[in-house]
Amino acid sequence: MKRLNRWITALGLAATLGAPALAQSKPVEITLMYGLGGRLGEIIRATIDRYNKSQTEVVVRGEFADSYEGVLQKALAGIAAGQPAADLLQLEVALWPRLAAAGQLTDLATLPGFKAMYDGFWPVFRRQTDPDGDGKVYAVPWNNSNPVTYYNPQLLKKAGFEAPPKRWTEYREFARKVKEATGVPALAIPSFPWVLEGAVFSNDGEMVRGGRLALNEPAALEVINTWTQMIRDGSAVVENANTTQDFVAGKVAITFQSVASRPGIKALAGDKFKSNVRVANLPYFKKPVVPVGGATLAIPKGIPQDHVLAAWKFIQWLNTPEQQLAWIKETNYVPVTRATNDLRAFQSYLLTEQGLGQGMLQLPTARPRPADPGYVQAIQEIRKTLEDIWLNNRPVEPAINDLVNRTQALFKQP
Amino acid sequence: MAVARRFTNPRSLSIQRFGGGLGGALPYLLPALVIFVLFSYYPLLRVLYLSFTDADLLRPPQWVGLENYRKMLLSREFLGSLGVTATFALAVTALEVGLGMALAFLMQAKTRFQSLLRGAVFAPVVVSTVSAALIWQYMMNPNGGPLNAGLQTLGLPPLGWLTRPETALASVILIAFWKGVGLPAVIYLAGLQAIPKELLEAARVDGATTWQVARRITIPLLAPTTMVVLFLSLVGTFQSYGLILVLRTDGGPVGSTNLLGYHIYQNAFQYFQMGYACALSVFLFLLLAALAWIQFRLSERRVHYQ
Repeated sequence: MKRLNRWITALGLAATLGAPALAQSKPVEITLMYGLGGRLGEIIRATIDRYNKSQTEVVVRGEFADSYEGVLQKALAGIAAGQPAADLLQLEVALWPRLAAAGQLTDLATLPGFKAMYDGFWPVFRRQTDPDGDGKVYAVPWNNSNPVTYYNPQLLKKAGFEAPPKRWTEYREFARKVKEATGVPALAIPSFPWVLEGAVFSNDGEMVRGGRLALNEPAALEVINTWTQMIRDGSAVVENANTTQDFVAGKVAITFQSVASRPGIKALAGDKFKSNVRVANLPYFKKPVVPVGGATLAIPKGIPQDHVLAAWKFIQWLNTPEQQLAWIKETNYVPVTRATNDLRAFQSYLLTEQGLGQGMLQLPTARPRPADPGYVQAIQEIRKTLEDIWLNNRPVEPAINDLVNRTQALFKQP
Repeated sequence: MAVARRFTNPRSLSIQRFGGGLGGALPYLLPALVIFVLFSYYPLLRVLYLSFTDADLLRPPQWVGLENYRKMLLSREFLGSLGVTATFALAVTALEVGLGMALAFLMQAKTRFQSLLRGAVFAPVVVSTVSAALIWQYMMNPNGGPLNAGLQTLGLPPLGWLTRPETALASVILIAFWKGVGLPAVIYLAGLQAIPKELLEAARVDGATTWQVARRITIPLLAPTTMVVLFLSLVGTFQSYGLILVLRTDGGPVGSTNLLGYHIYQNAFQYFQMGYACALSVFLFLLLAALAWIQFRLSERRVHYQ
């Protein structure tokens, strides 16, 4: 009997002590599917750990999907299976519009505290995530960037230059002199049309106009002809998978890459980074314009409401100025909120190395990339055509006219 | 003998105890059958169905009849990709059969380096595709990579390798061959070891040279092995896409490495054209089925079994 009493007392005590703990709700566990690997992947995992330690309501689990295409692939598979692949998706800026158009993403504008957060983004990111201006927002910026010019000052010095020209129109003569003086190509030009978009926009042109590619218009043709001439006279080369290594090794003087490529270039260059790598603005024709790149965060439809709210909380935390600053210091992405820019710590950080603020300086001239669903496929066709012109010496105008005609059907898709 | 008879006598098998025939076999077959139907046959039929729709994985698919097939046959990208794939498959297969057999002969020869050679030939098979791609990207760097450095030492002009349309496919073929030849070589080695020694000895006693033995006895007796290698290699190469993905050629330059497998992947997961990608997959399936049928018909007529 004594023993029984002891048991009853113990159970009562346990129940009394355990009740508050049981009354507390369990944290909501959500999954973030991301597509950045390597060092950037490590930074994302560290960010998630920091968030999980900072509060007790939400537990975020990171799932690496290999690439932005990998995230899309898994998201599509989840949609087909009627079971979203994750609670939060990192979607490349050109990829989310198609998912949104098909009604597969949550309208974030309906979530608590949306307006306060969204108004804090730079206008370019608001235009990018709300291209129709209808107030419906299916993705918010996170890791956004723009392209800059990375140059090797030692090679330029040999040709008598301190820095590369600001305008594309001055590049031909400059590139010829650099090639002559150094024996290496002055610049590597990418066939992936991100830098092309900037150059065309800067020449008052458009990539897509009236439901078709506008690369056969004079503004775009001028850009392509300028680049083609440099490639054909040997002062420029077509960018390839080895370009970054070549740039770091002094085998090409200039490469145009994302501001977020800086940590990778720095790691490759090692001790030589300070002396051999400088950053300048992206060249332009008539006026400075840079296209926005990177990825956004989106919440798929079909997940439980408590997961939607948990994912939203995580998004809000990521966009606080302090977290943005921590993220930028590691990745060199641009700040997506104005409040981050206003931080004294951010301004001090920009002064620690040459060129750190170039992406930030270019933000007032930034423009969203084309958001037409057909543009994703057109990008591959643009690449093929540019490579055909540059590597097979195909004449520019017939090749571009052919490109415009054969891609027209892509822009009629639902 | 009695034991052997017992195991070869169908009446003594436990199937008979379950009543014999299909009904008796079903309990044994069911687990495997369920897995096959769910994970092999259902997806196959689903792909076939989706190939007649405008599926994009975002909306419910709508029936479009033969539209995807019409589009496929009129598509310049598809026809280009088919040509690239056929070139790639035939070249890699020819190399794997020819050099795989030659390597097997070398691996069979009893030398001090036999183990080393066998390890060296098979090692690339176990190297991950990503690692292989990184190694070869470094080797083939047109701007001072080891291969171009070697060419220049020999007084030859450097090549663009993966960056030029005229050399990109040949470069991918070389990498695929390097990565894959170990397996055919080992299969051939097993085939060589299965050839009865007395046949070879008899030929030598009759005064046949090494070349004559190889040509008249060994190679004909390896015909079943060659058929297996041919089949595996052709199927594998026609389905290739991973190498292109990790070499980051994106099917270029100018579509020169746009293998059919990669073309399907792009359409399905980058262009949101799952229905069209399914039509391409059905085409690839039929193509491989036809190749398999031709191979088996040939093997019935030409392959010499012991």
